[in-house]
Amino acid sequence: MSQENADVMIEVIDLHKYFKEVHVLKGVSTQITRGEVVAVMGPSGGGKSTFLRCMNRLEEPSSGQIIVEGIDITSPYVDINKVRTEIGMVFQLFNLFPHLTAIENVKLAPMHVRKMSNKNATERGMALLEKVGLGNKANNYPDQLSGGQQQRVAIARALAMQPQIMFFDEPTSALDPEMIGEVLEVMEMMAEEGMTMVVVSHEMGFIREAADRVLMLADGLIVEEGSPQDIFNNPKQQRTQDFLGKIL
Amino acid sequence: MCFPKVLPCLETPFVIDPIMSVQTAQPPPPSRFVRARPGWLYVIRRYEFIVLTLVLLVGYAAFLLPTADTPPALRLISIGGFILLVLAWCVNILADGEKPDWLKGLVALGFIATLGWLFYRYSGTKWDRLSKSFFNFQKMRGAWPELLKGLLVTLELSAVSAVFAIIIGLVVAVLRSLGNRTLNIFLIAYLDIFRSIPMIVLMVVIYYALPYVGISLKSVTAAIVALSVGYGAYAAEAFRSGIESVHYGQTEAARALGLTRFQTMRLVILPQAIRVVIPPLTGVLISMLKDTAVASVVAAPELLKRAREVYVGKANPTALVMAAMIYLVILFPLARFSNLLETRLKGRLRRR
Repeated sequence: MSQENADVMIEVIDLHKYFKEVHVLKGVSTQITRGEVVAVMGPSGGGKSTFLRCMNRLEEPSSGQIIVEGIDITSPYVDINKVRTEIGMVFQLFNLFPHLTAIENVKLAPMHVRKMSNKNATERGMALLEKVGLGNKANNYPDQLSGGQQQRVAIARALAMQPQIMFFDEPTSALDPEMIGEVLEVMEMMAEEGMTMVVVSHEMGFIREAADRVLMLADGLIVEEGSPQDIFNNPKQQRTQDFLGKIL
Repeated sequence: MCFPKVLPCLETPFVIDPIMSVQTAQPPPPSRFVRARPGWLYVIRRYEFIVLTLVLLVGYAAFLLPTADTPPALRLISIGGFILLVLAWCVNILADGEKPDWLKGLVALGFIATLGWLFYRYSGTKWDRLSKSFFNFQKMRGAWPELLKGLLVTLELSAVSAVFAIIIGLVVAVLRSLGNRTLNIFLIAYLDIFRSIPMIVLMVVIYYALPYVGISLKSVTAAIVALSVGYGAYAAEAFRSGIESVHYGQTEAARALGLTRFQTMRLVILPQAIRVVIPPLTGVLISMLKDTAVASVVAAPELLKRAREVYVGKANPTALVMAAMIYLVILFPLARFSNLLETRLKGRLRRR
């Protein structure tokens, strides 16, 4: 059993994941403390997304422990829906609900999971849409919004559950270049407000600005970790150097 | 004389003199896009050719089509050959992108008219007897109320069965989306078995055979059970295709927000699936409405059964034509409506 430590939000211990015979995660261990912004980088197919998705069990881990606030969420006794309400997730392809307007997207989960009244949920939803700069788009359907706007609604939707931690799975890689900035701005704002965040991304500028720690995930292992300055300026591992050489 | 500057690579070996320039003034070599000789398509699509063949076809119609003393074997060959030639002639014009639209419309009308004329001339129909037995509305006095009573039963049958078929289809499709292998074997067995049994067989079995296992159903109830179970299988397929058309990212996003599986299905998947489902589902329900006529074999007093009673009672089959007209009046707008719905919903599907 892990050390009870109020500052550790998520502790991952020896996480393995197989897809059929393919060994995607080969024993990942790390700790994420409250208020920390962790960037996950690494080559394609290295297991970044799988790592993120295992932490809220969108993928079932094959073995290992994921301890959230002192409780192993891989245990069958855990109500995973309760855990997920504390973990906000933002997807590469936004995954907004196309049959609902922006505000309906944002208030759906608070109303049906938190059993909030329509009025309260609408109020909170509007406040969040204002925060991401889309107060005037509340009644638009997702197909009437640009990619950047859709992703900001998706962030507001995740925030509406008042999660303790936010996961971002390549939030800007499906966006046109001119829309990346607006999404990163919102994310930087959240980081400044002290939100705990795990971000799979290759946005060097954002990582340098906002991240406290970078994990280099390659071939299912954390090959190197450290502050953005350390990783970008003097990477120690050959794998990290190769990877950075390719994306810079 | 002033000559244009020649490409540098050609400059050295060639000496350009007036004689050479006369030779280059000859027509350029034929492009590879131009046919050496006009092809057969070019020939058969010329207006001269089309008019000539039309004259030949009219000649065929005048002299080669069978008369009263043509032997029967030759009659078939002669008429069949004529239809094939007319068809070829029409397709030749209809398939030509350069012919004007009004001409094509005329040709299409002409083809239908030709078929009608051939039928009128050679079918051997006795028109007076036909109208006396099938369109004898004087004899049908008092038949309409009888038929409308039948129509009421037909509508009741289809409404009740539609509700049950939709419920069965929805439940089966949702259960199937859970993805349990063992359960799916049973569900697929249900779908495949009931989609393979003809409705008339299903109804007869339910009505005449089930009493032997202790389940006696009235004829209307038996018809409802057969229609619901049989068309529930089709409805389930429609719902399944709708549910599968929703991107899996939707499920993930909903689950990541903490919604349960059931909430995800109810709030996220089904509202999106329904737009995909409605056109095929309308089609299924229209087929079901038509198949209510089968219930007459188990003596349910629906439209066709009533029509047959009138037929027997008045010894005239005009009642059947009247029933056909009622089915047409009910189903024709429905079929149009489902087409309209499909076009309308396709526009809305953009939202995804």
